[in-house]
Amino acid sequence: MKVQRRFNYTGRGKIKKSDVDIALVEQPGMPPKFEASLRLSGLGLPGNAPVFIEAYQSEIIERFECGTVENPRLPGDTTLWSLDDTRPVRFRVKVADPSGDNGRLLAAAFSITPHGDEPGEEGRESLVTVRTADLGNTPYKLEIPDSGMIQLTANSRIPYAKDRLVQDPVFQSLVFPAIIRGVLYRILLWEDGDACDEDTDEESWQCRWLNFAKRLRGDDSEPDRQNIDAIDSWIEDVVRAFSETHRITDRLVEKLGGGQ
Amino acid sequence: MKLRRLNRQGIKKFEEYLDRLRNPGQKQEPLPLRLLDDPETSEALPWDVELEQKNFQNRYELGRYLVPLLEQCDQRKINFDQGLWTWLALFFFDQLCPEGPDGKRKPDANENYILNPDRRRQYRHAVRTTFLFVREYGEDVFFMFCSPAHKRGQITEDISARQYFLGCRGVIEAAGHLYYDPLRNSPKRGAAAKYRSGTVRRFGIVLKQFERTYDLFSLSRQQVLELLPREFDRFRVEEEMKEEEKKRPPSSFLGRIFRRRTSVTG
Repeated sequence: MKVQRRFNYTGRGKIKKSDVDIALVEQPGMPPKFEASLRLSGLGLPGNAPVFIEAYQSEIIERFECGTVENPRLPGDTTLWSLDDTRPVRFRVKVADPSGDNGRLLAAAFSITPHGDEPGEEGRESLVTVRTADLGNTPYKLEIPDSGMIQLTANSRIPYAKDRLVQDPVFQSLVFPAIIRGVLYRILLWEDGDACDEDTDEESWQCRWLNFAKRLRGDDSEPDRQNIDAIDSWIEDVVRAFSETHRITDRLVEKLGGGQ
Repeated sequence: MKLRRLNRQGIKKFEEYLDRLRNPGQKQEPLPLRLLDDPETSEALPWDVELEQKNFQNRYELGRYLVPLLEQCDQRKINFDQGLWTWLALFFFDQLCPEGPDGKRKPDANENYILNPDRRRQYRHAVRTTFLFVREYGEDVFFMFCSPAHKRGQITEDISARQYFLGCRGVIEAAGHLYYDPLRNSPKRGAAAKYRSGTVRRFGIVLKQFERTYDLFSLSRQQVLELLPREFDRFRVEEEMKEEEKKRPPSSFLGRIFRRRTSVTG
């Protein structure tokens, strides 16, 4: 099991996600830019502390100086030149020590999803974002980021690929169980054991997926991560529960029996 | 030759050439340099950049050569241009992948020469990564690119894999301070070892742990060095070690013995 230690000996404060609004804005013929509004005044931070917003995808970061706590302002150009606009983007907001003596962060918010990319209907959060792109002969691919949302890319050469994922039982029966297995194996075999710990972003995708899996199983327990058989069995229970809940094979049989 | 970019066909043919090189039964064929200016496989660029074949002692020299030439190009446009960077890798291929004593070329993975469309993997490109770091830091990154042009080096891999390090001046300067031996004009012995404490690989891992509490982008070289735990002591410069020793007087006979042993660098 991978264990990652995190150091917070400096007493860095937390900026709540509710204090930050970030949205991506499409720009024809160019990468998107972002807009942001920050509410940092009630956090007890020095007014002259510099504020930075970082847009990131894995190890690629694009950083913007955004004024100070008492005078936050975005730079003139917030275009995300360096990031891949076909993949999810996440943001961090950082407030640094104004003295410059030690480079410490006074407060930060991590793994912020921009508006339009995450919340589902009626306040439910999606577990996967779906996009389309030309993938050659690969029907779909699943990207699992270090943080943020899992992205499913369907091949745009397949007519109505995105709609089929949402509606077509044939597609769903082939794709959804595989996604569930792939993601849960990744979490249980590779990701941090403390995915839902307090010092981690409690809305991390690992945490949301584990909670989703537990709800399906109707059980709060997790498998012993040192025991591959236990992991196999646990994940198959999740796939079975998902398939039962959504009648995956029943709907497939109905579709195929309909001769379409 | 005037700088151009390979089009899709040109990239495909270059890729096929690389794949054939790896086939042990395949006869070695000449470099497909015709792809560079054949209108079927390449396209003109809006900038007039003339390149010459030169002999580079190391990748750093390659970077130094390219930086002034590519200055006139729109940096935003060329930054992720797969065709351009792949063209450059083919142009300099004789140096990036020279023939061995047996007359054969043994290329590394294709993404070292063909810019991977996945931006997370683009740090592996031999020419682009060298150019970006040398453009930003000049001789401060000589330690990353001082190996012969055909060798990538673990230090380059470990630092450039965290692509955001490119924007962290203090981090890069600290790495150079720790891992470059100016007397030998090369990285310090053991700096690139995979499973030992204090190495470049550990440097990246340890700094990542500090990301949640420190603003790596604004740290100076000295601030980075002061943050690093004692496992990095063996790479610190000896003068610096003496200063550290003065600040931390040993409290016991055993403490003095231990500290004397860990003060050896390199």
